[in-house]
Amino acid sequence: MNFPGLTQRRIFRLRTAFSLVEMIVVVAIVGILGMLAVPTISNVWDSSHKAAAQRNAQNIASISSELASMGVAHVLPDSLGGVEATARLLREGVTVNRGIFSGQLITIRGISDDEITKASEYLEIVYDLNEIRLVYLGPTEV
Amino acid sequence: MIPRWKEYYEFSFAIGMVFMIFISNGDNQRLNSLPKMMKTVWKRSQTRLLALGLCFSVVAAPVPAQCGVISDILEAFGKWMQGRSSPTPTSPTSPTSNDPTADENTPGAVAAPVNPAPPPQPSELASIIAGDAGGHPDQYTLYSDKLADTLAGFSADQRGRIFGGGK
Repeated sequence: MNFPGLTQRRIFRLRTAFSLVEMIVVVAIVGILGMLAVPTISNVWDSSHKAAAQRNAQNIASISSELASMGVAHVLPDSLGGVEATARLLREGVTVNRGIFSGQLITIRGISDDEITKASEYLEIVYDLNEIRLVYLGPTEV
Repeated sequence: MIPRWKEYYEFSFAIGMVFMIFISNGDNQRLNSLPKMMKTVWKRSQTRLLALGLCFSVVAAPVPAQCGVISDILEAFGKWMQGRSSPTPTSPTSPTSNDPTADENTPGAVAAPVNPAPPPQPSELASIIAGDAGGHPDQYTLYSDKLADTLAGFSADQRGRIFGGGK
């Protein structure tokens, strides 16, 4: 087939170029894949954040319980910051000053303020008759 | 209420179905040429894509915690741009460095100023706890003594971080 005014090279280039429809198809594929990926990634991301917060909350509650069993008062009431302040206190580290564990430093390392805030959603201050405690609420939907 | 990501799923499923019908009705040439098409698109816009990637990777930015929908991504991107353009806010009332993020163990880190606030007294603590618990301060005398003892073990700087928050 002859195309007046077009060289063979130009004709070849025209034949190998993409049509608008083909380009739209490619863009649509990329868009669909993107739309499928975003919510999936978001969901996984959300779950992992929640699991990490629960793990941190469990650690905080466990260390708090350990300190309480050693007779070290460390849980701060809500007016003094409550759960978050107590977690920050544990991050600073508490030195046991009585009993067989005297001199031992109990601390939580590598936990940021943001992680403390998220973990505090799974923790609660309980006011007993003579003392206050920090308890883990469990993997409840918060 | 249907979560927004589910709506996206349904929408993308519908588009996917239409696309499947489109490629199944047509000749296989379209499908066969897809890898070639994508390869060529990559080749033609490689420099631009690489430049875009470089722009995003040069400056380290915190990844947004929530990327549920496109609007969230755009919002996070806006915040990121805003964060890049504006300098870190500093408190005009504190001429000395009071950055709680400063690590004491880091060489060259400026030591935080001493917080003059003393640790709370046991009687004060007992009143606070009783106020929160709705009981009498006498109930918490022993606990308050122990708590005051624990708090006395912290430096003013540490107490600032505990009660003030932020590290």
